[in-house]
Amino acid sequence: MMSSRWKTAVALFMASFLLTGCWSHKELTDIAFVSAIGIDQLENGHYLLTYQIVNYLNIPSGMQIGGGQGPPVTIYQTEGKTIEEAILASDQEISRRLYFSHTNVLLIGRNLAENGIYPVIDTFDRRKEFRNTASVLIARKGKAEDILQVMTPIDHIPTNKINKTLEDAEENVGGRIKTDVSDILYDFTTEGKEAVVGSFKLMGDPKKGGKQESQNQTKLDAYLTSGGIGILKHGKLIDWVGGQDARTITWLLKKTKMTSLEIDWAHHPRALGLQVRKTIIGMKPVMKNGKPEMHIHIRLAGQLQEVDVPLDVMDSKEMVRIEKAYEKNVEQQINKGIRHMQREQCDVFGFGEMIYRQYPKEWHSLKHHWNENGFAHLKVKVHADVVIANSELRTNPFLSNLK
Amino acid sequence: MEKAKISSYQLFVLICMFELGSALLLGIGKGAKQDAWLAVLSGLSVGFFLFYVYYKIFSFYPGISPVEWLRAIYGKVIGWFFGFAMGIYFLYLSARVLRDFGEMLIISAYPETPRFIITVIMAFCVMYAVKKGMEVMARTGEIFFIFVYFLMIMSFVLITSSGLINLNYLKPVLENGPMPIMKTMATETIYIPFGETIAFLSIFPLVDKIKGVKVAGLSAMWLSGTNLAISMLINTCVLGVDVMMRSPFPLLTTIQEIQIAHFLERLDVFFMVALIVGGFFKVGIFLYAACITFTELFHVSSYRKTVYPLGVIMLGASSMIASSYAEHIDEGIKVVPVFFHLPAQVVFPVITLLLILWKERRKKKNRQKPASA
Amino acid sequence: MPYWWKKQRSAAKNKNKSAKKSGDVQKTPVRGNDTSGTVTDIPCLTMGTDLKTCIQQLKKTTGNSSDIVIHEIMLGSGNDLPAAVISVDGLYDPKMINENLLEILMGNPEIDGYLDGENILDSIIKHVIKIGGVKKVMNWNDLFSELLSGQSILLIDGVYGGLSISTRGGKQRAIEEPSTEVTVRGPREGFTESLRVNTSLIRKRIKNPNLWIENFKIGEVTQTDVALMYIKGIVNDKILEEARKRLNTIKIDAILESGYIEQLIEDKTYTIFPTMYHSERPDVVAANLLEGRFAIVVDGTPFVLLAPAVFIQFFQSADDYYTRFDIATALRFLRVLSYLISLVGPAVYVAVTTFHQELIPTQLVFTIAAQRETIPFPAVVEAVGMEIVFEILREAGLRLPRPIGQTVSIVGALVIGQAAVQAGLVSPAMVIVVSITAIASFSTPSFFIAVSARLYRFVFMLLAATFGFYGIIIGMIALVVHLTSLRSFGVPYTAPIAPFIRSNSGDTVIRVPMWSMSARPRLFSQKNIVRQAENQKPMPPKQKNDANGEQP
Repeated sequence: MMSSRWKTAVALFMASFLLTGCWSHKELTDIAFVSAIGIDQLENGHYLLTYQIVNYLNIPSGMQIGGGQGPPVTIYQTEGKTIEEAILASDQEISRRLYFSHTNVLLIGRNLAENGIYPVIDTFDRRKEFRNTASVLIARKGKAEDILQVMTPIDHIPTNKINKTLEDAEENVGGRIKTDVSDILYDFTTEGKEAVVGSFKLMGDPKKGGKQESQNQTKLDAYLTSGGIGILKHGKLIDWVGGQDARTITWLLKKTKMTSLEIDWAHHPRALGLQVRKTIIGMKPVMKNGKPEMHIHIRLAGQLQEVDVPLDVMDSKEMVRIEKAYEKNVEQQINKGIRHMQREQCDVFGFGEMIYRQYPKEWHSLKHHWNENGFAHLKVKVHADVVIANSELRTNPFLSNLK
Repeated sequence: MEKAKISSYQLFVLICMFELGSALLLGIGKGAKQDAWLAVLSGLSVGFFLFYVYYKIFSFYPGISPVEWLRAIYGKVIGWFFGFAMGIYFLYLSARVLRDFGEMLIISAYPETPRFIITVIMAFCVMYAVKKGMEVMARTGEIFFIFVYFLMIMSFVLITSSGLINLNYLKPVLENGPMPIMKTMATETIYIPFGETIAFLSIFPLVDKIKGVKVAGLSAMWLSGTNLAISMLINTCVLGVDVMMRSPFPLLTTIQEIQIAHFLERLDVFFMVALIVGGFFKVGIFLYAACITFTELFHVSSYRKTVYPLGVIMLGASSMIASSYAEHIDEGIKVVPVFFHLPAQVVFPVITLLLILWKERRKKKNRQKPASA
Repeated sequence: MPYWWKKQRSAAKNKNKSAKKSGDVQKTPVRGNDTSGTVTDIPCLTMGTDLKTCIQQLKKTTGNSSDIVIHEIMLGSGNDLPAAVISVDGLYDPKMINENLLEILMGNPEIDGYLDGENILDSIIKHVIKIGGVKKVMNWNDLFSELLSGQSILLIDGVYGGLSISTRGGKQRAIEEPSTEVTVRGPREGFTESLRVNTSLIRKRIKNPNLWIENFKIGEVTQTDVALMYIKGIVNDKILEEARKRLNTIKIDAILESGYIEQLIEDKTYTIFPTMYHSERPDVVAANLLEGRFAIVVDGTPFVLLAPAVFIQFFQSADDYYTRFDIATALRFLRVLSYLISLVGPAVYVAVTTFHQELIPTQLVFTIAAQRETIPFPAVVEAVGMEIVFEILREAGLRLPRPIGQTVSIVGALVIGQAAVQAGLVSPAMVIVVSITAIASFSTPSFFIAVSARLYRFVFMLLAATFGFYGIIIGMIALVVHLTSLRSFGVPYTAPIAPFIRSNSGDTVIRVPMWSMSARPRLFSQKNIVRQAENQKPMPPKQKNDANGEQP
């Protein structure tokens, strides 16, 4: 008796398995892969969300079975008072469910960045679908929606181009930065460090970026390029930093490993070019008479890559002199960069955080208005060490032998 | 009691998997912020002491189930009530852990699926295993032990090679002194997971060597305790204090950060697998302890008969004990440790042990008296 | 399944059950020499002394079968003692009968002296018959069982009983390499269908008097010879007792193959995992006997059963032991890995593409999504459909004659796969997953373990379709729980991994070098554990003086 009741119970239970329309089941054909999201703020305060959806049929892959004729990405836009509302509104427009697990770029429009990005970040932090390794960028030139419309040659999916460009530049050139959602969150919530965000620019004619004909040329009408670093204070964009100061920032954030430096020599401007191969940075806070000081020690090693002036490269004393010149140059750059930030009263380097970690008790008295009081007047000692390892495949420049 | 025999290595494996079960997932010691790992280690040291108390109680009454020695110490009626309380306690804990895992799955992987269905699947699996017996569970534990450890080592390697660990996040160590660690330890880490080994009192009689229990238990706690501390350490180093505090499942968030060559990403689903295995053992052992206890209390002929009824109760309870995740966690932090864990895991066993020792001393005195008289 | 088989199985089970509950010893007679209650219900008495009646009785019982040859002769040189030599055409060796038997018995004055007297049979055995293996048969059952095994029967007029003379012959398959267990290195001998040849092949390898063989005749109608072989002193007596008990409990009409016996004495029917091992190779059987297992050899089939079996055994092949340890270990890992792939391959694919798309690298997910765009079915239906088609192809390939079979399966798979992809019915990724799964399932050495994976694969696919990765892991846990609960003749199925036995773990998924495997499996043989002396590690000889300054 018991067993037949059990059997019916089990049978009924098993039947429930056939409800495969079930629940969290998502067929690949029911979802739309969003590779990038752009957020702009309109005049009425609403958010305009732009979704860059991958049209994978048009991506040539391995064995081409037709297709590949259309643009690889499509743009949809929705509007809402909050981010959630905007995403919800997308269901009315798109035939599939938006799937954010492969979203690699979060592009924030400039006016939104200036108004503060705090309300935007929480939903990307909380929802399980978003990767916290997606990069957050600010649209430096052009609106977010315009940037997302531009198609890129070589990399079929624009987000690949964006991410790869930033990663490469961050590590090998300096002055560009790729920030993840988790990095930004860390910066927001840590005392003594302010957030920096990378940016991307749209060059050329934004209207032509989305057209495929413009892709069929060798010189493009519209293309994307990376921009400098945006500084955020309390979640609001206050300034852009570019050039050498941006490189200082990426040096001190320990993100840049290789770069290139040039100095004047023998009364020739920009005569020597050094390709830095290895960068080691140490930053230490030191307490002197109850006041904090930062000691920065940077060590660069590289190869001399361009010599535009007659020079005896094999003379070691000469090399030492060159190295010293480089060291001075580097120290100047770093000091300049730090002073720039001190003028902005924004501690992006994390000096405050380092003081907190090293001297927690002293930090308690320093942390109030650290940016304005402590950081802006912080004494920084920079010591640079440059080593020229070799001069690549030639010793003396041919200029030395000119008649 | 079940007629089964397990070796001390199997006990070691079971305790290890049990400890890692839900503690790995939930991230214990969060109250101490970046010193969470130190809180875990201090909880471990108290846990050693607690385990020793349990072992000592067992060593006075080897070979018989907990209900029987409860009755022997406290008398038939009071002992029965204590046994009943223990049984309910284990059943409640099994329902709690089941709920924990259901919530984890719902939040991190299957938001649209009703939680009940997910818990039903796991509950049936656990009931099947408990019905098969402790020998089978121990052997299953041996097989999965290797698998789980392999996954953990691999995850450690992946995290390190992703360059995610930043030891600076641990500083300042002991920022506010040792007090937060002590407080976290007293309210959280002693009980979860180290004190929960009290469930093994029903399993100790099955081990073939009495001394083996002590060795296996202490080394298992040491191994799993250090693993938990290392995992909290890694969580802190990768995520930073803020995100770690705000994540309900910090380990999953850490694993999400792994990104290798744009190829291995979002591996948290994969590690969910290891966590499910741990959860399976935890729920299974609690259920087993509850079944054994109730079998003894009500003189049922075989404990296997009680598995399905108690399993269904556990299943229903897991849905009923809290109406939302927040309430569940709230209970788990504010109510359960102080009102349940503290008396059951610490106060009661210590008092029992003292009683036993006192009785033993009296017996010795009685034996010595006639000689000296 | 024939009805009588089912009844037989449940009867045996019920018998075992009741025996266990009441705790009393089985009261079945030991088979072998007891022939009461057989199909031929001729009572013993009718074997009279009159030759003619005997012969008539014999003809009646066999229904005048044309292959029973009855040669009526006169013993000795005189004309006074009629006798008959009865044999079965096709089972006897004519040369032996003609030259050694009839030659001696007929017209031979030398034997006259032995034909008188009371114990004529004994004197004939001792003095006349110049062939080995002579026995007296005193009742019809023995007579028929000897006759039908290929012996010749000598019936003498006026004498009660007869003689059975060993003249076994008949045609058999030659000893050739077994087709199911091919190894790269190792002997090329395989068992044949004759019991005696098989036992001789094993004897050749274990030249030890402790190799004992017990005979059984199982099967009411077929009276199949079954031999139980073991090495006394190594095998566990309790396990052996259990084996004997189970063999004696078998009451079934026919034993046509060792598979029948396996299904009737195995520990648990409702499981997909085999609890007894079988092999066609004498070296494998010999090695297993040396580890403390026992072998059941069945006449009429080259497959010899070995028990107790453990799960890991099914992943080992004979040449693991003949090759070096690093290759053997790597290949074993590969086999376990391919078993896992064949078990959960399609299920993981289904789970990942329908639940956990975030796990797939971004570029790959677009490719797969593009492929699936045109497919009308959900991933599960596609997977199950492709798997079923593949199973059909595989079965078809087995049934067809060899040259056609190979071609059909290969061509069929390719063509069907390609055509289905182009018709838009399945996606190429699915075809790849299914093919890899199928190939992985071929690389497990034991066919029956691979079959178990084939069946359970569908369960995993369904679980994956409903619950994704979580379903797969719950399925794995349930499978492992089931696996660890199995026992094979009292030995836990997952030994020596769980319970972990250190001394035997050198031969599981890894294989430590030969010189360090010094202990026999502990759970099989409790005694005689050590099988190798210490310090067996080979080392080059130490050179006494450094000639040429070379180090040894």
